[in-house]
Amino acid sequence: MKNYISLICVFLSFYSLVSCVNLEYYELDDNEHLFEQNRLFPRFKTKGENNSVIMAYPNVDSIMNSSVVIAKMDDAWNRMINSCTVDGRREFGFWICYDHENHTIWCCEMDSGPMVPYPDGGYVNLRELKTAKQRIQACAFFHTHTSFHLAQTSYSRTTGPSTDDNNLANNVFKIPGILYDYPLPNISGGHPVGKQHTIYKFGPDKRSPHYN
Amino acid sequence: MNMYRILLSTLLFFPLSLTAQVINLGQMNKQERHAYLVKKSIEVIKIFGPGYYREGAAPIISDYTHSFFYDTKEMLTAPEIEPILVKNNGRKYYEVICPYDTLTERLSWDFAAKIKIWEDDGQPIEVIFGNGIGVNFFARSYDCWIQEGVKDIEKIKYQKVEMPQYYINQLKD
Repeated sequence: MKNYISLICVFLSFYSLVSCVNLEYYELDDNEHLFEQNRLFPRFKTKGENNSVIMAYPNVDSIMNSSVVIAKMDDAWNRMINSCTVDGRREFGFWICYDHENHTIWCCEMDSGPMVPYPDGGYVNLRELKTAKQRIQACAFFHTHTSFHLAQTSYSRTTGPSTDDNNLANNVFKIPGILYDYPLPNISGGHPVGKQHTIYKFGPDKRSPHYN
Repeated sequence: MNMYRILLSTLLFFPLSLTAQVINLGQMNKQERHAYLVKKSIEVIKIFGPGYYREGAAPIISDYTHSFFYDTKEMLTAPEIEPILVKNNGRKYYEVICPYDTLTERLSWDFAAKIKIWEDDGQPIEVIFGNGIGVNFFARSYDCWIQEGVKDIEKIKYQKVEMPQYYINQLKD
């Protein structure tokens, strides 16, 4: 019996030794404060194997708390408000990326949708991510919905992420979506302009790890 | 004598004509009410967003009680219709959701149209279409719209979701 136990111990020691040799273990920086709750997602690299670098992504709460992202989202909302006229309005949005080298979040340039009259639904198509780096780093997408403060009082708009927004986040991009819009369930034309919008998150909590 | 007859018949039939306008859905049986709600919903869709009318789609009907919360009201509505919304607190209404075939068509929302209708008078409150935009009948009543006529430019445009081709492939692992 003792022999068996010794044999198992020897095997386990050998296995752990081999594992340590074959795997390089990268933890996020100690001073990386943005992703405290993501410390369980280190990056691994296995020697001599292809397709094995795993790049983890921050979760949506960390992204929403990034000062860089907050500033850009507020800028998008202000641009949306300022672009409203009595004839129409437009949505704004941008991609949010995570730089795995520096552990920093950054935002792509702002995109804007077409100017649409109030009886039409607004939208913004985010620009195509043309470089491999951008495609690997994209970790979330943001857009605004529009204000109806200059619309006729008879027009209404449903608020919050639409079915299509959810479809984009869950099935097409498979990354978190963030939205600035007014509170649920809907707004009508002529509402006060200065009223506070709210922030919605939809889709997955974070992008799945990327295997390079 | 003729004048008296006209006056008498007017007095007799005036209350009848008034009651004919007011339809209390709460006093109807379920089948009648369902038929009225579907008929009225189709009428509203055809007038305000004809592109969203789907023949044969079975609507889903639910009943609610109107409630307009004071703490959020400033965020939601125009100042002139806030008192109307507050005044209507506690009124019952029905919501008719008209679906569409999501396998063959993609709209921004998962309904072609959603219509709210008051229970006590059968009048439409609001319609929202599949692009998320709609018309409410608080400031300008439904009857007022019908009498004055709805211009094409005021109707809610049919919009399906058109996704750029590059959306589909760019983030695939």
